[in-house]
Amino acid sequence: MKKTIAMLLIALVAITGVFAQGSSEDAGGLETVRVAYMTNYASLCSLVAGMETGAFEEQGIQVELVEFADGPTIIAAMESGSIDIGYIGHGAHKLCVNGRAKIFAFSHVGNGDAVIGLRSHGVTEDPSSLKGKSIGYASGTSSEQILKWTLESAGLTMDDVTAYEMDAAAITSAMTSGSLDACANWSPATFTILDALGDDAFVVADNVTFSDRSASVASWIVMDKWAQENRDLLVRFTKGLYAGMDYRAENIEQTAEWVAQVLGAGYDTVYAQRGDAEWLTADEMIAQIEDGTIEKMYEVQKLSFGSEVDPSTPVSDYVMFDIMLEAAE
Amino acid sequence: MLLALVSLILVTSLVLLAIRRDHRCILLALTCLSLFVFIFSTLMYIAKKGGIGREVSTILFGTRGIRTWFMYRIVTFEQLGFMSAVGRYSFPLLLVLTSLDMAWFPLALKAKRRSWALFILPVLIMVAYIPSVFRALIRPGESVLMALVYASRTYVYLYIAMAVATLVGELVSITLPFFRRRFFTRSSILISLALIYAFYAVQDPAQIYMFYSSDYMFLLGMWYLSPALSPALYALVIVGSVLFGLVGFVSMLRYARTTFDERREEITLRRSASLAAKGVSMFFHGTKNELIAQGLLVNRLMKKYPHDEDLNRLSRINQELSHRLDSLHKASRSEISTLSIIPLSPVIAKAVDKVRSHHPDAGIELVSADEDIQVLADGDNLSEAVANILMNAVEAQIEADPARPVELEYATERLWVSIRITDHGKGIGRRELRQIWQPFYTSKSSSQNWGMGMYFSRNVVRSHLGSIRYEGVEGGGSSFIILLPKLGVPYSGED
Repeated sequence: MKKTIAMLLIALVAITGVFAQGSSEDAGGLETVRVAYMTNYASLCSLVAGMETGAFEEQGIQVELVEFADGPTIIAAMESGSIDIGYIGHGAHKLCVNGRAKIFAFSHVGNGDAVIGLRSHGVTEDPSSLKGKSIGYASGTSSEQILKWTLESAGLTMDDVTAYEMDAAAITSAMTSGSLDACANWSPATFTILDALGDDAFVVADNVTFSDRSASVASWIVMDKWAQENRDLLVRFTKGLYAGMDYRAENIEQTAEWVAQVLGAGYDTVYAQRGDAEWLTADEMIAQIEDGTIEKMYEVQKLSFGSEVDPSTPVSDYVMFDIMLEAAE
Repeated sequence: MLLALVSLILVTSLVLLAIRRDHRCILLALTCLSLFVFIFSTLMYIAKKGGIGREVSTILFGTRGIRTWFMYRIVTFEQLGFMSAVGRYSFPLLLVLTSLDMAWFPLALKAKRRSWALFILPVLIMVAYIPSVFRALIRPGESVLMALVYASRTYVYLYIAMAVATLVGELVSITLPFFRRRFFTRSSILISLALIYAFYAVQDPAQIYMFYSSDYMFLLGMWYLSPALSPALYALVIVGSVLFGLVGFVSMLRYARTTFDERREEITLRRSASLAAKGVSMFFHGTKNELIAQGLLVNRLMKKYPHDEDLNRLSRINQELSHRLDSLHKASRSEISTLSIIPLSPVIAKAVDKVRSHHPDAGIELVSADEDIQVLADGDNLSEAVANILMNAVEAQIEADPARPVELEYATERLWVSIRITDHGKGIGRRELRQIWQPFYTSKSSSQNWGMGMYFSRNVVRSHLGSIRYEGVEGGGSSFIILLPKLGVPYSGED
């Protein structure tokens, strides 16, 4: 028995040592930055391009990737200190407006959210056909918002449908197995559903349908305190990100290949997501910052959150345009 | 890894239940099932939520494929949250009930009598976490949500502390090393389950009901994303819980194997005993009549020649042979006992006298914690059973070191009255230990020995609803512990 306990203790120390090694802070003099991402092309394309082309290493940064399912959790992880920098989609921006985090880089305006219906289940292009249908959605996200707007456009409310609260992955499984009549989800889950169900599945509404009501902006964020304490590091990280954005614009296939490797997904699925947004180069983005286009998009986005945010909060309070401009110098 | 571990623990507890089918095994299986449900739902939540690095993912799920499998399960937040609530809130209650079932110190006995009261808090909390009730309750605002989360967390840790305190209290109250060792092994199952659970118990089902809502996250934090859990510390805690889990798993496996071995041994012994009883019966009836006829003839001859030395010797041999035949017949029919409440001391004294009549110089050291112990027993049979074991101990001791006494100790402990007989002879090998309970087995070359003593003793003790345990003694020697049910305690078949 004593022998067994001794062996177990040795195993404990050895295994702990192995796992402890995996979290080494420094590799070859590079500063490690823990970056939260979501499992889609939009979140990873510029980041992975920067990593693979050595743009971050040139800035003295080693990126450590951590996968998340949603923006609010990324912000919660950043608040707890386990993550330094994160990527968020449209929905989590209201937390930035409310002062939870600061945006230091614009990512893109997306068209990844969609309400998808199944013809075989009686759903048509007319949103009113959703009445009484079983619909999966992710509450508290852009999925819920686009579903509510779609129903609203046909004079319906959530009470007129049978809504099931699920996570994005479960919605995908439920749709492809025919358990739901329709769903509201985001890319790349929307592509997976459309690919798997062929002609039977179709888009009832997406971000473009409601472009007059909101801009589906995605951004890179940090905690205010972290940004103040690591301003130089943040600027260097942004430079690496810009290099990634520029490489992506010229090398879509290669970038998709790298993203597919990180996600463990098929190349075709990832490549199909290139249409989720209009992808800017660093110069194009700087030009849009300077002419006020990007600030306007954040303004429209802020107002779309309604009473969930204080509409009088200036965009400049939570978007650090100075970092974006300094990194471009 | 964690998933594999809790699955193994659950399967083992179910195997144990299939073998033993008693109240405690049902409780243990339910406890393991509730832990499995809780860990399963927690892992599914983490898989769907993300935020863990590759190392932690490997520790929790094993492969990426398993994590993906969890991620894509079709389950609504209400289903997953309620599954988590059932596991989270039933485990502490079941753990306390199982701990109390194993405890016999006064406070635990009082708590056992009022165990219904233990259900009130978990049932109330479980009702509060029914999805529709939960949503209605938290509607007024954040303060209600926080109160609910902290109340349920308090219940969880309070009950875990109660269970651990019960186990520690029982361990402290046990004085005999044999019982303490046995209890420690069995309680390690529960301690390891409690440790695994306690680490993940911060996971509140509210986090699942409010999966994408930032309200919960910013009010109460995300437990598994805590900065205190650096990858190294996370690994240490998880690997630690895996090791404790393994101890529990091995204990449970050993418990199941012991039960299985005991059953198998019992069946083998019954078969041997049945055959032996038939043989003894035929031999006894065939020989006894002729022995009686021979005795009558010898008596008649002794009347004619009262001073003949040879005839006197023949008469003594005849009587001794008749007595031994009677003993053999009695031993083969030892399952018949007439039980009554009697003091234990005279039974022990009679056994000692019997041994001393054979070995007048034998050293026997009597130790008793309580002279007034009473047992429900057949005094003659029990004293004979004790004498048989004591005789073997004395003979082993004389062979090894005649100057050193054999220790005879009796006391009450937990559910049992124990009689321990310890010698410092050469001990008993593992192979021989399997055979000593067999009828007609003897390691002695004496013509006076039928090899029925230990078989007889075992049968008598079992007919008293007791058992005999063997332990080797450090430095050589053997210790036999006869366990008899303590008066006034309902018989459960185990301690």
